[in-house]
Amino acid sequence: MVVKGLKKLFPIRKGFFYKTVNYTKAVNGVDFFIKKGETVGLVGESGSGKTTVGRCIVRLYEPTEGSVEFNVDGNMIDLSEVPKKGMKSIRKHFQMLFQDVYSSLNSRMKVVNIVTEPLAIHNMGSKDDRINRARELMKRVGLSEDDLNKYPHQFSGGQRQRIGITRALSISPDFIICDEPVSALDVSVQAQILNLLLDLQDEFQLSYLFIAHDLGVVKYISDRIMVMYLGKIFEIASSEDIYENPRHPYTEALLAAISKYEAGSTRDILLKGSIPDPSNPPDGCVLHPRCDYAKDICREVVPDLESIPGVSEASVACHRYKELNLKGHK
Amino acid sequence: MNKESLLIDVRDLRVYCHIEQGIVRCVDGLSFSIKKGQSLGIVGESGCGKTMTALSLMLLHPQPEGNIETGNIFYYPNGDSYIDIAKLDIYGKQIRDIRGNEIAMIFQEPMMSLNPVYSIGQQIIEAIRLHKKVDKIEARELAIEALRRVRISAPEQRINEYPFQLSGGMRQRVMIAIALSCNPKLLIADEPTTALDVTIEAEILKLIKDLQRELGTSLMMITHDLGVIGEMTDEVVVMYVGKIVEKADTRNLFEKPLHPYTKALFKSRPEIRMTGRLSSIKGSVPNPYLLPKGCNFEPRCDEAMDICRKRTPDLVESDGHRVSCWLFH
Repeated sequence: MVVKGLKKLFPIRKGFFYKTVNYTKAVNGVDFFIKKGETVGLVGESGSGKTTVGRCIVRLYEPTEGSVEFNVDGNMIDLSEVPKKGMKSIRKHFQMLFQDVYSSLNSRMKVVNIVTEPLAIHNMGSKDDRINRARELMKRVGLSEDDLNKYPHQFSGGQRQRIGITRALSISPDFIICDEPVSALDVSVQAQILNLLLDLQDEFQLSYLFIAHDLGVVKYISDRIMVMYLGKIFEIASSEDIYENPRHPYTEALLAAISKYEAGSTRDILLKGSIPDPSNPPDGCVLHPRCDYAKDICREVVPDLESIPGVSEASVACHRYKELNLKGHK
Repeated sequence: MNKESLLIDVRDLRVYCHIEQGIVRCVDGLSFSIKKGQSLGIVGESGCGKTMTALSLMLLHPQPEGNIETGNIFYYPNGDSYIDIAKLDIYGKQIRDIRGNEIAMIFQEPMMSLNPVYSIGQQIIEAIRLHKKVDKIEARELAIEALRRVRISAPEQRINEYPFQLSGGMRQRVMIAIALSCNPKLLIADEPTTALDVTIEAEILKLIKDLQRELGTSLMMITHDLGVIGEMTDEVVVMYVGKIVEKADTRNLFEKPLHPYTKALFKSRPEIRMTGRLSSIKGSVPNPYLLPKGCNFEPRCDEAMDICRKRTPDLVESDGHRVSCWLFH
């Protein structure tokens, strides 16, 4: 999958005629790609536009600009060109996992109906086939066949996320967007779900876009990591590289904020203040008001995402990345 | 233990909830103490009774189903005289004087615990005027002071803003300002940073720690995040289904966790430095109506023995830890 120049602007309307006075630039020019069987992590603070990227890819939001090319059986298809009606047949190639396991399952449907609904929508198999498929998958994700006749309220948070995973897998997708699937779960359950996602990836050759704000979780599951801030991608690199050797000051600050899991430890606070208003982003590099390394050029010129010579699949959007010697996570 | 420095001494506290399906033993024989200026961490999975413990210290456990069955909560406001909170009338004047004034609490979700239709100033002033005999103008001065203390810039203007105008981190600062407005002796923080970003989390934790030092307040930190425990606390209580499974100095616990449950919690954290698969705890927290006969953790424990299935272990001393596991008997 290749994403090019993706933009999503939400209009801000005001006044009697409901005129558009400004735009919230939720995603402001984002380029990346995901290979088959790969997991790409997407991290950033809340309000950085992570979820919007995920939703634009599957056209739950109509992107304002840019293209999303998706490999459907060997042909690259630009999703933003596909008419609305044609999307249905393409949607069976991707699925989503959501953060809130309490609101993403319909509490009035039995599990069997929740899990087989995607199959029914895409007219796949007879009713018996669908139920057999559901049985098989329920066992695969660690639930029992009897659970199919229960309702979502009878399950714990971790089990609900397993139901969510079963639903996502039912139509055998190629690509799953995981939007903070473990943030609401306890650590011990988190580990179970992460391990399950990795096992399923090996088994079904899945690609994941893994959206999260917990850098420990992202490191564990991802091959490459993208760091996002205020609708822009600041850095992309392989997950080992980015933690040992961050090239963007924002990445350094995020890494410094990770807890060290030691008694009596403290964290360095490198970022002051909070994320600016995305309808009125700062000029130049959007980080400069919060960045300790900012120089004049950062206040005036927007840095491009440049690939780094000598390091494969790594890019950074910072004017000063060559001069700076940033600290990784030790 | 030196009685002088003791602030809270909880002994064999049992809080049960009587509901239709049966009795849930939310807190089942808990004993711990907090000294003046000390910080205690309570860690465990959801549903283990952490929050219920905190609520019962202020007699805020759910009514009418919740009930303190037995046990004492000795509270030493100054020196040797003490009050047994567990014996007070929940609606009485005595506990109302303690709540918010001497023991204060901050909650996980700052948006849910602030009232959206009152300005933050009104909400801080409410807390101050409930407990202090001051007029409106003085209370307002105190409220501005409280906001300044939690490092909110331009508090004179901010005081008139409403919760929706503030970011998550700012709201949590306001919650802390309300909690600390009456200089409480004990601050209970119930997952104060779970809903926040890592960068904001680091700031809020630092703020709580700084203020705790400044004011000499004791802290009870409830969380499921061992990282937060490591940074914030002197002593840790690990809870599992209403019971203490391990209690130790934070440093000791991090160097050498003893109980299989504590060890499993440490191992299931995805750490930056790790390679290979995470080890997870198999199964899930048992159904509170159908607790195992022996040790509560036995069905999920890798080191379970025969005796674990038959009898509940007591808390015993081992290596400076108090641990409830047959391996150490």
